[in-house]
Amino acid sequence: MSRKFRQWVDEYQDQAWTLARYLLKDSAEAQDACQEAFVKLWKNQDRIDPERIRPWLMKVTRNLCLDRLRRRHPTQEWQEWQQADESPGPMQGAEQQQLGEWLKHSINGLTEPYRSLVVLRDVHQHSYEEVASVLELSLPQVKVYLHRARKQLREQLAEVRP
Amino acid sequence: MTQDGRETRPGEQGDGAPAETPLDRELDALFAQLDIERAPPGLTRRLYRIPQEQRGRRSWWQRLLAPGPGPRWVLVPALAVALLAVGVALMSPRQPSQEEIFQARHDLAVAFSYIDRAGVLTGQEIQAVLGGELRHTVKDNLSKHIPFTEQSRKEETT
Repeated sequence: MSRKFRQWVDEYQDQAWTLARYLLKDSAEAQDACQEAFVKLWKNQDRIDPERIRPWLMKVTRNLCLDRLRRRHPTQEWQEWQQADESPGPMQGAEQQQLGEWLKHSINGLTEPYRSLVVLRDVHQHSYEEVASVLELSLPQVKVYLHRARKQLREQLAEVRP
Repeated sequence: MTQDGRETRPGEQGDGAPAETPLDRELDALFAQLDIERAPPGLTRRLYRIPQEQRGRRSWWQRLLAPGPGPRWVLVPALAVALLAVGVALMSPRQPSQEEIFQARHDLAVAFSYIDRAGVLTGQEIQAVLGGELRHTVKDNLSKHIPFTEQSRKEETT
């Protein structure tokens, strides 16, 4: 069982880590959230369908991150976080790599569940069904929300393009 | 996921249609740059340690029931054998030592002496109570039924 768990760590730690990093924006907290998620995986491994390990882990990681954010931002700060994040200034004439960095910040500026949606779907390349399962949304909702999120990013990209 | 089972790329519509505008295509290219970040080695080490740490926190019965190298049903006969061994140990006659026999005899003698003494005291008590009660009962009944005259009083006193 320990060997199987190690295999899951090798397979999914990067995805859990990336998601936690995007959500928490803090390396130490993201590590703690990932560890907590994997501890839950260890404790519940007998109850989880082996085919559904990844969506289960992503869902737990996301929920743990959101819990931490709620604790971190109890009232006003949490609302601010919900509304928007400060993205870097316009990057007129920026190089492609800089645009990549800009995109990271822009994703961070999205509200939930758009941020998780974009990370899971566009960064992690999960299927729509899996994203729907992780975020507990219907398939049409996933498509609509993703469309909205991409629209926001597209509009921001249009602004920074030279 | 498209109908032919292929994953849709970022910017591609759910029905497999390509991205519509140059901005969409650019966004796709940018998304393609965003690799999944590698987890830091420190985190990997922490995650590898989880099974060991969690096993250490289990209580004895959780460890007993935890899946081990063999199948779980092995526990049933193992437990039965252990119970049988305990039962046999409890049921088997044990030879007492000489000291234990001596002590038991001494305790028995003390117990009998107490019982004897209690018996004597109880007998005395019974005699005292019953003797007085019987005397009064006989005398009182007689005096009720025999006419008590002056003559009889004189006879009684002489």
